[in-house]
Amino acid sequence: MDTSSPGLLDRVLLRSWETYLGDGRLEHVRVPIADSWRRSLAAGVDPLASRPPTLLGDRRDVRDRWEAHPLGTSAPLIRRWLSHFANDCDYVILISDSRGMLLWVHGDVTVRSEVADAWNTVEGALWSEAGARTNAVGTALAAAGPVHVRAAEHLVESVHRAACSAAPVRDPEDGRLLGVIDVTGTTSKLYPDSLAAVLAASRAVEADLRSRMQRRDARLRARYLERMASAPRRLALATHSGRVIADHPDGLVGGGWVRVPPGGGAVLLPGGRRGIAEPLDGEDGYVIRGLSDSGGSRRRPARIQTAAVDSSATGRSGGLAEWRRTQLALIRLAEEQAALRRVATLIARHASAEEIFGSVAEEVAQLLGAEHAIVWRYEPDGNMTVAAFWTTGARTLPIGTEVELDGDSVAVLVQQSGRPRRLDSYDGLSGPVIELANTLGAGPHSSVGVPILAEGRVWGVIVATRTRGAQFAEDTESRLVGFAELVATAISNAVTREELCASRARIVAAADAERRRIERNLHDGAQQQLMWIGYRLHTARDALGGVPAAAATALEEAIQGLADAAEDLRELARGIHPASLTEGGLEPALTVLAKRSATPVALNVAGCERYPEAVELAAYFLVSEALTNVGTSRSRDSSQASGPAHRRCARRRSPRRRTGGCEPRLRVRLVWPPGPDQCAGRHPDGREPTWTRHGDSRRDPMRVVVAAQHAMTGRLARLDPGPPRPCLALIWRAAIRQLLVGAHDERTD
Amino acid sequence: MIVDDNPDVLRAASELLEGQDMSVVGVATTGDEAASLMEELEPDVMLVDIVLGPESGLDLTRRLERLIDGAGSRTILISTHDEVDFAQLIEASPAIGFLPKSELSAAAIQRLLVQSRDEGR
Repeated sequence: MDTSSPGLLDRVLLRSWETYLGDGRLEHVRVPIADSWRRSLAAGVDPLASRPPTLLGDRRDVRDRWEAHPLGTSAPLIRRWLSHFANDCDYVILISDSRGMLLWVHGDVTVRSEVADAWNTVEGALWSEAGARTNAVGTALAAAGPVHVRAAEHLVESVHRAACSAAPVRDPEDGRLLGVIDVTGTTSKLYPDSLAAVLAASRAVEADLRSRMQRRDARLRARYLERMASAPRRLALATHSGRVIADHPDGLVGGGWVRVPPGGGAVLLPGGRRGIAEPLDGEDGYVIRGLSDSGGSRRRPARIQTAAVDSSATGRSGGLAEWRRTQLALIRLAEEQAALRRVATLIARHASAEEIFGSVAEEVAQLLGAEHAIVWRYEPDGNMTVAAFWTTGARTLPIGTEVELDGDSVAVLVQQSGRPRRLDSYDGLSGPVIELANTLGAGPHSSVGVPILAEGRVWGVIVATRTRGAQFAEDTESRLVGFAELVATAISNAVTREELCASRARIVAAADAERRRIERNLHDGAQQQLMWIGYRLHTARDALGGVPAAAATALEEAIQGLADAAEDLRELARGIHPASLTEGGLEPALTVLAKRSATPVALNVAGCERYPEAVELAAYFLVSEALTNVGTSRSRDSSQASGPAHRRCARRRSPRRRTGGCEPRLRVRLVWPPGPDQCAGRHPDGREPTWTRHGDSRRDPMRVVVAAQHAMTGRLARLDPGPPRPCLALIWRAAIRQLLVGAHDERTD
Repeated sequence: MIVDDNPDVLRAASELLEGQDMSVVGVATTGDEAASLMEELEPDVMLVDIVLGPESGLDLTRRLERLIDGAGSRTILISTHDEVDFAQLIEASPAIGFLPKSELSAAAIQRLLVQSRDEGR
């Protein structure tokens, strides 16, 4: 069976579907699909009926569910893994919960609404097998594994135009299904790597959840091991699901899981012994205490147990306490190192300042068991602003919140001294910073702050605050210094990078200006001169009337030669700087390119506005280069360019190459200004705004995607059969990134 | 009337057209000059260079058309550039046509005027 082309494959699938519904025979049906068909038909569904999935709840309900859902925190990660499908392949990303209800739909607005109209892929729709029969989301949940479902593999006919890949995500805490990550598009677009991509995304999310879980575990251990060390009885520590994260060295529960009733209570320990699980104060976990197996009331055995442990541990109780303390110190150190490493990794990845500061605040608060952590930036005007805030509470401080640097405050003390400072009590203290802290709920109880020394001054401060409980331990300041140093590094890196980019942008801009000047000079000088000579020659010819034939011929030849020279000069000037770009912007300039292209090109760039000059020039030369490459490839068939105006993009397809049914395409897409998934951030020093993509820290404000896509395989391929050369996109993306620093300056000036 | 930012070219072009029995009633090197001359001289046709130094001939065309207030376009755009370079901009402008500077002649202007009148009918 040759199913090498998508159209053919889909026809085969349709025949299989008809056969199955006709007489129940399964022909050329993959096992997971066949299983799902059986399940769906057994549930008694009419496959011909257009049955849109049930809608659960209203929009706000769904949004609340999504925000509370464990996968909600992984949305940026999912977007990062799958943005290629959403941005460049006209797919949508769907996330469902463990019941198959869609919680989040992400993708291009147009595609999203098209797909939603056709198949009801909206937030709140129920895409379980019960709700929508065989489909990627429902079948991935039912089969508890990744699955690709396309065309007539969908049991319900109205979804036959869809091609979807989905993979389930499991909670590392207890192994239960959390939901499904899915990418959905139409069958006309075949991207076989979509299944691998969703699988990779689900693994990445699971790894992310696991690392969060490990951090929670470490925090619980750090907080309670001390208490456990001083407790006379044998104790173990378990998470909310009953997963044991710390056991008594003699082995009270023997690791693994303990089945804890909701809210705590009696538990069964290995060896048939009984124990009791007590919920931890304000934490998602339990302390598990062993009870004597000799029975009786709860109270009495506890006393017996106490006595038993005391007698058995006599003589080595000091050793045990020592052991626990060493363990605790080691755990703390490991935790601190891990937190520092996470921040350092962010910095090495050139994450945005916002992301780095945010992570520092979170790590510091978690590490110290503080209710709030703030990264403050000292401003030259005697104020300070919030660069990052993390809290265990509900109320938050937005980035950029400004407060007067006055009154009683750790930040004030640090700024004055340039050294770490602390306030072990807030009794009788007041000032604007404390007033601000009081608006966050419980007022400050104790604080500690370390200076961020960057750019040769006290740039800012990291402050951790507790609203209750004990004061910070003696060594807290020294533990925070590493974080302050990392923040300082990030700030200097960012400044250096900005300066480098700015200087590159200046060079590029200077070169552009020079080209424009040369073009102008040619136009105003040599070209006008030629025109003038031409007019004089024409006038002379007109005035002379009947001259000898030889003289007339010489004159005509001179006029013709002059016209040729003018033409040559015009070509030269056009290559140096396109005059139409200066006069009319991208739209007319690209039209000229399309008209002059050796390959026939259909172009749709309606709606292009005027952009900063550097951006226009980069885009122009990008398209020009792309067209030249198309022209040098073997094909001379047709070329099409399209792009809806509202997306502000110019999209270009290269000629079809009809060899073996392959259709390489060249697409150029310009997006300016940054779309909704991109937002303005601030330079860490607050001097000038920079553009960063939300969830993606790289500075990439204008996306320029140049990819020759093999329509058959979806793989990126070079257009020409010549030797490999660097991908245009890379060159141009780098160029444009540099240009934009200059361009943005122009915009903000 | 001719509008071009290069005085030498202006003079040479005027002389050429005068030699071909077309009277050049005025010349201008800037937009302001062109606007005031147009109101004063009411020329039958105006040749406007697309690239007028720092000014845009296309903008000037729109400005001049506003001045005559719908009485029918009388502007022909000229340039040392190729027509194809500005095709879309010329199309969008109210001018009746385009003439490459290298092909400037009284006959060519007449042809464009006749063509525009025919189309207008």
